[in-house]
Amino acid sequence: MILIIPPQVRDLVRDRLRQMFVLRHDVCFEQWRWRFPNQNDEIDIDDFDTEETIYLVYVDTDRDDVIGCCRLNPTTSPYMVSELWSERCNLQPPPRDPSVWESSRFCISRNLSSKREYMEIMWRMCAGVCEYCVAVGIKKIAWYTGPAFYQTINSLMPVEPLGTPYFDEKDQDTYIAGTGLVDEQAVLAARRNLQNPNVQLTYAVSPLAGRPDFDQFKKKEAA
Amino acid sequence: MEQGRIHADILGTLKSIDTAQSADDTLARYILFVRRFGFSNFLVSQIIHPLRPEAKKAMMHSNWPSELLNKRFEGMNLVHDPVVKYAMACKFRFSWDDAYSHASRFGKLMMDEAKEHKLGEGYTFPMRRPGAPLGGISIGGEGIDVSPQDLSEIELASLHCYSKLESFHPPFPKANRKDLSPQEVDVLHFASVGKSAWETSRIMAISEAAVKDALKRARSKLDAVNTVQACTTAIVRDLIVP
Repeated sequence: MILIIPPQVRDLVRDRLRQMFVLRHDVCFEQWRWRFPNQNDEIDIDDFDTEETIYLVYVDTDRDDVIGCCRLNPTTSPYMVSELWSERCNLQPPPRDPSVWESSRFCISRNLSSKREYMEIMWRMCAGVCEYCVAVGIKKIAWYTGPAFYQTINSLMPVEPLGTPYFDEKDQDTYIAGTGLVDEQAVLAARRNLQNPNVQLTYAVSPLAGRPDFDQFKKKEAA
Repeated sequence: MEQGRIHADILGTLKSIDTAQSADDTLARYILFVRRFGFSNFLVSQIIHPLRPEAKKAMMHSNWPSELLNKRFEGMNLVHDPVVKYAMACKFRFSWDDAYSHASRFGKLMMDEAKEHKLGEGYTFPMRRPGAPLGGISIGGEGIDVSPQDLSEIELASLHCYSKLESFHPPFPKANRKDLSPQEVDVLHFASVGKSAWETSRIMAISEAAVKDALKRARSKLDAVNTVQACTTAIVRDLIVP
Protein backbone atom coordinates (compact mmCIF):
# COMPACT_ATOMS: atom_id res chain seq x y z
CA MET A 1 0.00 0.00 0.00
CA ILE A 2 1.04 3.59 -0.60
CA LEU A 3 0.88 5.86 2.43
CA ILE A 4 0.28 9.53 1.77
CA ILE A 5 2.20 11.55 4.32
CA PRO A 6 1.48 15.27 4.34
CA PRO A 7 3.48 17.48 6.75
CA GLN A 8 0.90 17.58 9.54
CA VAL A 9 0.98 13.82 10.17
CA ARG A 10 4.72 13.15 9.99
CA ASP A 11 4.96 12.55 13.73
CA LEU A 12 2.52 9.64 13.41
CA VAL A 13 4.81 7.77 11.01
CA ARG A 14 8.34 8.68 12.06
CA ASP A 15 9.58 5.10 11.66
CA ARG A 16 8.19 4.83 8.13
CA LEU A 17 9.79 8.13 7.19
CA ARG A 18 13.14 6.95 8.50
CA GLN A 19 12.77 3.74 6.46
CA MET A 20 12.06 5.94 3.44
CA PHE A 21 15.17 8.07 3.99
CA VAL A 22 17.23 4.87 4.32
CA LEU A 23 15.73 3.56 1.06
CA ARG A 24 16.56 6.84 -0.67
CA HIS A 25 20.13 6.63 0.56
CA ASP A 26 20.44 3.08 -0.73
CA VAL A 27 19.01 3.93 -4.16
CA CYS A 28 20.64 7.34 -4.67
CA PHE A 29 24.09 6.68 -3.26
CA GLU A 30 24.58 2.93 -3.62
CA GLN A 31 22.65 2.20 -6.82
CA TRP A 32 22.85 5.47 -8.73
CA ARG A 33 26.24 6.36 -7.24
CA TRP A 34 25.41 10.00 -6.58
CA ARG A 35 28.05 11.84 -4.63
CA PHE A 36 27.40 14.94 -2.51
CA PRO A 37 29.95 16.72 -0.31
CA ASN A 38 27.96 16.41 2.94
CA GLN A 39 26.07 13.22 2.35
CA ASN A 40 24.94 11.21 5.36
CA ASP A 41 26.14 7.61 5.71
CA GLU A 42 22.71 6.13 6.41
CA ILE A 43 19.91 8.38 5.27
CA ASP A 44 19.24 10.81 2.43
CA ILE A 45 17.72 14.15 3.43
CA ASP A 46 18.35 17.36 1.54
CA ASP A 47 17.23 20.99 1.39
CA PHE A 48 14.11 20.03 -0.52
CA ASP A 49 12.68 17.90 2.28
CA THR A 50 10.80 20.94 3.50
CA GLU A 51 7.89 21.81 5.75
CA GLU A 52 5.62 21.65 2.70
CA THR A 53 6.81 18.34 1.26
CA ILE A 54 4.29 15.54 0.80
CA TYR A 55 5.67 12.00 0.73
CA LEU A 56 4.18 8.98 -0.94
CA VAL A 57 5.65 5.86 0.58
CA TYR A 58 5.11 2.31 -0.68
CA VAL A 59 5.01 -0.04 2.31
CA ASP A 60 5.44 -3.79 1.87
CA THR A 61 3.37 -4.99 4.80
CA ASP A 62 4.80 -8.53 4.63
CA ARG A 63 8.34 -7.27 5.03
CA ASP A 64 7.29 -4.32 7.18
CA ASP A 65 9.55 -2.12 5.11
CA VAL A 66 9.42 0.75 2.66
CA ILE A 67 10.17 -0.39 -0.90
CA GLY A 68 9.20 2.70 -2.88
CA CYS A 69 8.86 6.42 -2.38
CA CYS A 70 8.33 9.77 -4.02
CA ARG A 71 8.23 13.32 -2.72
CA LEU A 72 6.10 16.17 -3.96
CA ASN A 73 7.02 19.82 -3.50
CA PRO A 74 4.94 22.85 -4.49
CA THR A 75 6.45 24.94 -7.28
CA THR A 76 5.32 28.11 -5.51
CA SER A 77 8.28 27.60 -3.13
CA PRO A 78 11.87 26.93 -4.17
CA TYR A 79 12.11 23.46 -5.70
CA MET A 80 14.85 21.41 -7.30
CA VAL A 81 14.35 22.37 -10.94
CA SER A 82 13.97 26.08 -10.15
CA GLU A 83 16.92 26.23 -7.76
CA LEU A 84 19.44 23.73 -9.11
CA TRP A 85 18.80 23.37 -12.82
CA SER A 86 17.00 26.50 -14.00
CA GLU A 87 19.84 27.23 -16.47
CA ARG A 88 19.09 23.88 -18.09
CA CYS A 89 15.51 24.98 -18.76
CA ASN A 90 16.36 26.56 -22.12
CA LEU A 91 12.95 26.02 -23.71
CA GLN A 92 10.57 27.22 -21.00
CA PRO A 93 11.08 28.76 -17.56
CA PRO A 94 10.50 26.53 -14.52
CA PRO A 95 6.82 26.84 -13.58
CA ARG A 96 5.59 28.64 -10.46
CA ASP A 97 1.97 27.68 -10.09
CA PRO A 98 -0.07 26.29 -7.18
CA SER A 99 -1.46 23.56 -9.45
CA VAL A 100 2.02 22.39 -10.50
CA TRP A 101 4.06 20.28 -8.06
CA GLU A 102 7.49 18.80 -8.46
CA SER A 103 8.02 15.06 -8.15
CA SER A 104 11.50 14.03 -7.05
CA ARG A 105 13.39 11.19 -5.32
CA PHE A 106 11.21 8.63 -7.08
CA CYS A 107 12.97 5.54 -5.73
CA ILE A 108 12.16 1.83 -5.88
CA SER A 109 14.05 -0.67 -3.74
CA ARG A 110 16.71 -2.68 -5.54
CA ASN A 111 16.16 -5.62 -3.17
CA LEU A 112 13.08 -7.00 -4.90
CA SER A 113 12.90 -10.60 -6.06
CA SER A 114 12.66 -9.94 -9.79
CA LYS A 115 12.55 -7.20 -12.36
CA ARG A 116 8.89 -8.02 -12.82
CA GLU A 117 8.21 -7.18 -9.16
CA TYR A 118 10.32 -4.03 -9.56
CA MET A 119 8.20 -2.97 -12.53
CA GLU A 120 4.96 -3.72 -10.66
CA ILE A 121 6.01 -1.54 -7.72
CA MET A 122 7.19 1.19 -10.10
CA TRP A 123 3.85 1.23 -11.94
CA ARG A 124 1.97 1.17 -8.64
CA MET A 125 3.93 4.19 -7.48
CA CYS A 126 3.26 5.95 -10.81
CA ALA A 127 -0.45 5.18 -10.52
CA GLY A 128 -0.49 6.22 -6.87
CA VAL A 129 1.20 9.55 -7.57
CA CYS A 130 -1.19 10.26 -10.46
CA GLU A 131 -4.23 9.31 -8.37
CA TYR A 132 -3.15 11.49 -5.52
CA CYS A 133 -2.46 14.46 -7.81
CA VAL A 134 -5.85 14.19 -9.51
CA ALA A 135 -7.64 13.75 -6.21
CA VAL A 136 -6.15 16.88 -4.63
CA GLY A 137 -6.26 19.07 -7.75
CA ILE A 138 -2.63 18.99 -8.86
CA LYS A 139 -2.80 19.49 -12.62
CA LYS A 140 0.83 19.09 -13.62
CA ILE A 141 3.94 17.53 -12.18
CA ALA A 142 7.42 18.85 -12.90
CA TRP A 143 10.50 16.63 -12.82
CA TYR A 144 14.12 16.27 -13.83
CA THR A 145 14.97 12.84 -15.09
CA GLY A 146 16.79 10.71 -17.66
CA PRO A 147 15.50 9.93 -21.17
CA ALA A 148 14.33 6.42 -20.15
CA PHE A 149 12.04 7.66 -17.40
CA TYR A 150 11.04 10.62 -19.59
CA GLN A 151 9.63 8.04 -21.98
CA THR A 152 7.95 6.17 -19.15
CA ILE A 153 6.15 9.36 -18.12
CA ASN A 154 5.38 10.12 -21.76
CA SER A 155 3.70 6.73 -22.05
CA LEU A 156 1.29 7.80 -19.30
CA MET A 157 0.59 11.46 -19.98
CA PRO A 158 1.37 14.31 -22.38
CA VAL A 159 4.74 15.78 -21.43
CA GLU A 160 6.43 19.04 -22.29
CA PRO A 161 10.16 19.54 -21.87
CA LEU A 162 11.41 22.60 -20.06
CA GLY A 163 14.84 22.14 -21.58
CA THR A 164 16.72 20.08 -24.11
CA PRO A 165 18.54 16.92 -22.92
CA TYR A 166 21.58 17.91 -20.89
CA PHE A 167 24.63 15.67 -20.55
CA ASP A 168 25.99 15.92 -17.01
CA GLU A 169 29.74 15.29 -17.10
CA LYS A 170 29.89 14.57 -13.36
CA ASP A 171 27.15 11.93 -13.39
CA GLN A 172 27.99 10.75 -16.92
CA ASP A 173 24.27 10.76 -17.56
CA THR A 174 21.71 12.71 -19.58
CA TYR A 175 18.85 14.58 -17.91
CA ILE A 176 15.74 16.39 -19.09
CA ALA A 177 13.56 18.80 -17.09
CA GLY A 178 9.90 18.70 -17.97
CA THR A 179 6.30 18.77 -16.91
CA GLY A 180 3.51 16.27 -17.39
CA LEU A 181 -0.23 16.79 -17.45
CA VAL A 182 -1.86 14.61 -14.77
CA ASP A 183 -5.47 13.70 -15.30
CA GLU A 184 -7.80 10.70 -15.13
CA GLN A 185 -6.35 9.37 -18.39
CA ALA A 186 -2.90 9.27 -16.81
CA VAL A 187 -4.29 7.32 -13.84
CA LEU A 188 -5.93 4.79 -16.13
CA ALA A 189 -2.81 4.54 -18.32
CA ALA A 190 -0.67 3.79 -15.26
CA ARG A 191 -3.20 1.30 -13.89
CA ARG A 192 -3.30 -0.59 -17.20
CA ASN A 193 0.31 -1.62 -16.52
CA LEU A 194 -0.57 -3.24 -13.19
CA GLN A 195 -1.09 -6.97 -12.78
CA ASN A 196 -4.42 -6.11 -11.15
CA PRO A 197 -5.58 -2.76 -12.59
CA ASN A 198 -8.36 -2.44 -9.99
CA VAL A 199 -6.24 -2.78 -6.86
CA GLN A 200 -6.69 -0.01 -4.26
CA LEU A 201 -3.37 1.71 -3.88
CA THR A 202 -3.30 4.83 -1.79
CA TYR A 203 -4.15 5.43 1.84
CA ALA A 204 -4.03 8.60 3.89
CA VAL A 205 -2.08 8.16 7.10
CA SER A 206 -4.69 9.88 9.24
CA PRO A 207 -8.27 11.09 8.88
CA LEU A 208 -6.82 14.51 9.73
CA ALA A 209 -5.07 14.45 6.37
CA GLY A 210 -8.30 13.79 4.52
CA ARG A 211 -8.97 10.94 2.15
CA PRO A 212 -9.11 11.74 -1.56
CA ASP A 213 -12.10 10.46 -3.49
CA PHE A 214 -10.53 7.44 -5.15
CA ASP A 215 -13.89 5.88 -5.98
CA GLN A 216 -14.25 8.34 -8.85
CA PHE A 217 -11.74 6.29 -10.87
CA LYS A 218 -13.65 3.06 -10.36
CA LYS A 219 -16.85 4.77 -11.49
CA LYS A 220 -15.14 6.17 -14.58
CA GLU A 221 -13.56 2.84 -15.39
CA ALA A 222 -16.87 1.03 -14.98
CA ALA A 223 -18.55 3.58 -17.24
CA MET B 1 19.00 33.13 -37.78
CA GLU B 2 18.03 29.72 -39.10
CA GLN B 3 19.26 28.03 -35.91
CA GLY B 4 17.26 30.45 -33.77
CA ARG B 5 14.09 29.71 -35.71
CA ILE B 6 14.61 25.98 -35.39
CA HIS B 7 15.23 26.33 -31.66
CA ALA B 8 11.91 28.12 -31.24
CA ASP B 9 10.20 25.48 -33.36
CA ILE B 10 11.03 22.48 -31.22
CA LEU B 11 8.09 22.83 -28.82
CA GLY B 12 5.75 23.21 -31.80
CA THR B 13 7.28 20.13 -33.41
CA LEU B 14 6.78 18.09 -30.25
CA LYS B 15 3.15 19.19 -30.03
CA SER B 16 2.70 18.29 -33.67
CA ILE B 17 4.17 14.81 -33.12
CA ASP B 18 2.14 14.26 -29.94
CA THR B 19 -1.12 15.02 -31.74
CA ALA B 20 -0.46 12.85 -34.80
CA GLN B 21 -3.31 10.47 -35.63
CA SER B 22 -1.37 7.57 -37.10
CA ALA B 23 2.11 6.09 -37.31
CA ASP B 24 2.58 7.46 -40.84
CA ASP B 25 1.41 10.88 -39.71
CA THR B 26 3.87 10.76 -36.78
CA LEU B 27 6.76 9.85 -39.03
CA ALA B 28 5.84 12.51 -41.58
CA ARG B 29 5.97 15.19 -38.88
CA TYR B 30 9.21 13.84 -37.46
CA ILE B 31 10.97 13.63 -40.80
CA LEU B 32 9.80 17.15 -41.65
CA PHE B 33 11.73 18.35 -38.60
CA VAL B 34 14.93 16.33 -39.07
CA ARG B 35 15.14 17.11 -42.82
CA ARG B 36 16.10 20.66 -41.88
CA PHE B 37 19.40 19.31 -40.61
CA GLY B 38 20.11 17.19 -43.67
CA PHE B 39 18.70 13.87 -42.46
CA SER B 40 16.66 12.17 -45.14
CA ASN B 41 16.40 8.55 -43.97
CA PHE B 42 15.09 7.04 -40.77
CA LEU B 43 14.82 3.61 -39.21
CA VAL B 44 12.69 3.14 -36.10
CA SER B 45 12.76 -0.31 -34.60
CA GLN B 46 12.57 -2.42 -31.50
CA ILE B 47 15.64 -4.60 -31.20
CA ILE B 48 14.68 -8.22 -30.67
CA HIS B 49 16.77 -11.30 -31.38
CA PRO B 50 15.84 -12.34 -34.93
CA LEU B 51 15.28 -15.96 -33.95
CA ARG B 52 12.81 -15.14 -31.17
CA PRO B 53 9.16 -15.55 -32.17
CA GLU B 54 8.49 -12.01 -30.85
CA ALA B 55 10.84 -10.60 -33.51
CA LYS B 56 8.08 -10.87 -36.12
CA LYS B 57 5.91 -8.58 -34.02
CA ALA B 58 8.59 -5.98 -33.35
CA MET B 59 7.83 -2.38 -34.25
CA MET B 60 9.67 -1.29 -37.39
CA HIS B 61 9.29 1.76 -39.59
CA SER B 62 11.77 2.87 -42.21
CA ASN B 63 12.28 4.64 -45.49
CA TRP B 64 15.64 3.01 -46.12
CA PRO B 65 16.24 1.51 -49.55
CA SER B 66 14.46 -1.85 -49.45
CA GLU B 67 17.53 -3.75 -50.67
CA LEU B 68 19.58 -2.51 -47.74
CA LEU B 69 16.75 -2.98 -45.26
CA ASN B 70 16.04 -6.56 -46.30
CA LYS B 71 19.68 -7.43 -46.01
CA ARG B 72 19.90 -5.87 -42.55
CA PHE B 73 17.01 -7.97 -41.24
CA GLU B 74 18.01 -11.14 -43.09
CA GLY B 75 19.08 -14.16 -41.02
CA MET B 76 21.28 -13.17 -38.09
CA ASN B 77 22.64 -9.98 -39.68
CA LEU B 78 20.88 -7.81 -37.12
CA VAL B 79 22.99 -9.12 -34.23
CA HIS B 80 26.16 -8.23 -36.15
CA ASP B 81 25.01 -4.73 -37.04
CA PRO B 82 27.53 -2.36 -35.40
CA VAL B 83 24.82 0.24 -34.73
CA VAL B 84 22.65 -2.33 -32.95
CA LYS B 85 25.63 -3.57 -30.93
CA TYR B 86 26.59 -0.04 -29.96
CA ALA B 87 22.98 0.83 -29.03
CA MET B 88 22.93 -2.15 -26.68
CA ALA B 89 26.07 -0.98 -24.92
CA CYS B 90 25.46 2.77 -24.97
CA LYS B 91 22.53 4.54 -23.37
CA PHE B 92 23.23 7.89 -25.00
CA ARG B 93 22.84 9.12 -28.56
CA PHE B 94 25.83 8.31 -30.73
CA SER B 95 27.08 8.97 -34.22
CA TRP B 96 27.52 6.14 -36.70
CA ASP B 97 31.22 7.03 -36.78
CA ASP B 98 31.41 5.94 -33.12
CA ALA B 99 29.73 2.66 -33.99
CA TYR B 100 32.02 2.19 -37.01
CA SER B 101 35.15 2.67 -34.91
CA HIS B 102 34.03 -0.17 -32.60
CA ALA B 103 32.78 -2.44 -35.39
CA SER B 104 34.10 -5.86 -36.35
CA ARG B 105 35.39 -6.40 -39.88
CA PHE B 106 32.04 -7.83 -40.93
CA GLY B 107 30.28 -4.93 -39.22
CA LYS B 108 32.40 -2.41 -41.09
CA LEU B 109 31.47 -4.12 -44.36
CA MET B 110 27.82 -3.71 -43.46
CA MET B 111 28.29 -0.02 -42.78
CA ASP B 112 30.33 0.50 -45.94
CA GLU B 113 27.44 -0.98 -47.87
CA ALA B 114 25.10 1.56 -46.27
CA LYS B 115 27.42 4.34 -47.48
CA GLU B 116 26.83 3.19 -51.04
CA HIS B 117 23.13 3.94 -50.45
CA LYS B 118 23.90 7.50 -49.36
CA LEU B 119 23.67 6.57 -45.71
CA GLY B 120 27.19 7.54 -44.78
CA GLU B 121 26.51 9.83 -41.88
CA GLY B 122 23.97 9.48 -39.14
CA TYR B 123 23.03 9.27 -35.52
CA THR B 124 21.20 6.73 -33.42
CA PHE B 125 19.07 7.49 -30.38
CA PRO B 126 18.68 4.37 -28.22
CA MET B 127 15.31 4.01 -26.50
CA ARG B 128 15.37 2.27 -23.15
CA ARG B 129 11.98 2.62 -21.52
CA PRO B 130 11.82 0.30 -18.51
CA GLY B 131 9.59 -2.69 -19.19
CA ALA B 132 9.72 -2.28 -22.98
CA PRO B 133 12.07 -3.93 -25.47
CA LEU B 134 15.23 -2.00 -26.32
CA GLY B 135 14.68 0.10 -29.40
CA GLY B 136 16.03 3.08 -31.23
CA ILE B 137 15.71 5.65 -33.95
CA SER B 138 18.49 5.94 -36.50
CA ILE B 139 18.58 8.88 -38.87
CA GLY B 140 21.04 9.33 -41.68
CA GLY B 141 21.84 11.17 -44.83
CA GLU B 142 24.59 13.12 -46.51
CA GLY B 143 26.01 16.58 -45.88
CA ILE B 144 24.70 16.69 -42.34
CA ASP B 145 25.45 19.82 -40.36
CA VAL B 146 24.33 19.70 -36.75
CA SER B 147 25.47 21.40 -33.57
CA PRO B 148 25.23 19.72 -30.15
CA GLN B 149 22.18 21.91 -29.44
CA ASP B 150 20.55 20.74 -32.69
CA LEU B 151 21.21 17.15 -31.69
CA SER B 152 19.62 17.74 -28.29
CA GLU B 153 16.49 19.03 -30.01
CA ILE B 154 16.47 16.12 -32.43
CA GLU B 155 16.84 13.79 -29.45
CA LEU B 156 13.72 15.31 -27.88
CA ALA B 157 11.81 14.96 -31.15
CA SER B 158 13.04 11.35 -31.38
CA LEU B 159 11.86 10.55 -27.84
CA HIS B 160 8.40 11.91 -28.59
CA CYS B 161 8.26 10.25 -32.01
CA TYR B 162 9.23 6.86 -30.59
CA SER B 163 6.72 7.11 -27.73
CA LYS B 164 3.97 8.07 -30.15
CA LEU B 165 4.82 5.19 -32.51
CA GLU B 166 4.82 2.79 -29.55
CA SER B 167 1.32 3.96 -28.68
CA PHE B 168 0.13 2.89 -32.16
CA HIS B 169 1.92 -0.45 -31.96
CA PRO B 170 0.03 -3.33 -30.32
CA PRO B 171 1.77 -4.65 -27.19
CA PHE B 172 3.36 -8.06 -27.41
CA PRO B 173 0.75 -10.75 -26.79
CA LYS B 174 0.84 -12.05 -23.25
CA ALA B 175 -2.15 -14.38 -23.46
CA ASN B 176 -0.12 -17.51 -24.03
CA ARG B 177 2.32 -16.76 -21.28
CA LYS B 178 1.93 -19.10 -18.34
CA ASP B 179 3.04 -17.86 -14.95
CA LEU B 180 5.97 -19.66 -13.38
CA SER B 181 5.51 -20.97 -9.84
CA PRO B 182 7.82 -19.56 -7.14
CA GLN B 183 9.72 -22.88 -7.14
CA GLU B 184 10.19 -22.76 -10.91
CA VAL B 185 11.49 -19.20 -10.61
CA ASP B 186 13.91 -20.29 -7.89
CA VAL B 187 15.36 -23.21 -9.85
CA LEU B 188 15.80 -20.98 -12.90
CA HIS B 189 17.60 -18.41 -10.77
CA PHE B 190 20.07 -21.08 -9.66
CA ALA B 191 20.39 -22.56 -13.16
CA SER B 192 21.13 -19.10 -14.57
CA VAL B 193 24.19 -18.79 -12.33
CA GLY B 194 25.47 -22.24 -13.28
CA LYS B 195 24.21 -24.41 -10.42
CA SER B 196 23.56 -28.06 -11.30
CA ALA B 197 20.33 -29.77 -10.34
CA TRP B 198 22.14 -31.51 -7.49
CA GLU B 199 23.60 -28.23 -6.17
CA THR B 200 20.21 -26.53 -6.43
CA SER B 201 18.61 -29.42 -4.55
CA ARG B 202 21.11 -28.95 -1.70
CA ILE B 203 20.55 -25.18 -1.57
CA MET B 204 16.75 -25.43 -1.70
CA ALA B 205 16.60 -28.50 0.55
CA ILE B 206 14.49 -30.47 -1.89
CA SER B 207 15.25 -33.63 -3.87
CA GLU B 208 17.23 -33.55 -7.10
CA ALA B 209 14.24 -35.12 -8.88
CA ALA B 210 12.05 -32.22 -7.68
CA VAL B 211 14.55 -29.72 -9.12
CA LYS B 212 14.58 -31.53 -12.46
CA ASP B 213 10.79 -31.63 -12.49
CA ALA B 214 10.60 -27.90 -11.77
CA LEU B 215 13.09 -27.16 -14.55
CA LYS B 216 11.11 -29.34 -16.95
CA ARG B 217 7.89 -27.49 -16.11
CA ALA B 218 9.65 -24.13 -16.52
CA ARG B 219 11.04 -25.16 -19.93
CA SER B 220 7.61 -26.24 -21.05
CA LYS B 221 5.93 -23.01 -19.89
CA LEU B 222 8.60 -20.90 -21.58
CA ASP B 223 8.58 -22.93 -24.82
CA ALA B 224 12.28 -23.55 -24.36
CA VAL B 225 14.14 -26.53 -25.76
CA ASN B 226 16.74 -26.53 -22.99
CA THR B 227 17.54 -24.87 -19.69
CA VAL B 228 19.84 -22.26 -21.26
CA GLN B 229 17.01 -21.02 -23.47
CA ALA B 230 14.61 -21.16 -20.50
CA CYS B 231 16.95 -18.93 -18.48
CA THR B 232 17.46 -16.37 -21.25
CA THR B 233 13.72 -16.29 -22.02
CA ALA B 234 12.97 -15.79 -18.31
CA ILE B 235 15.46 -12.91 -18.20
CA VAL B 236 14.05 -11.31 -21.34
CA ARG B 237 10.53 -11.55 -19.89
CA ASP B 238 11.68 -10.10 -16.57
CA LEU B 239 10.77 -13.26 -14.68
CA ILE B 240 14.18 -13.67 -13.10
CA VAL B 241 16.90 -11.22 -12.16
CA PRO B 242 19.51 -10.93 -14.94
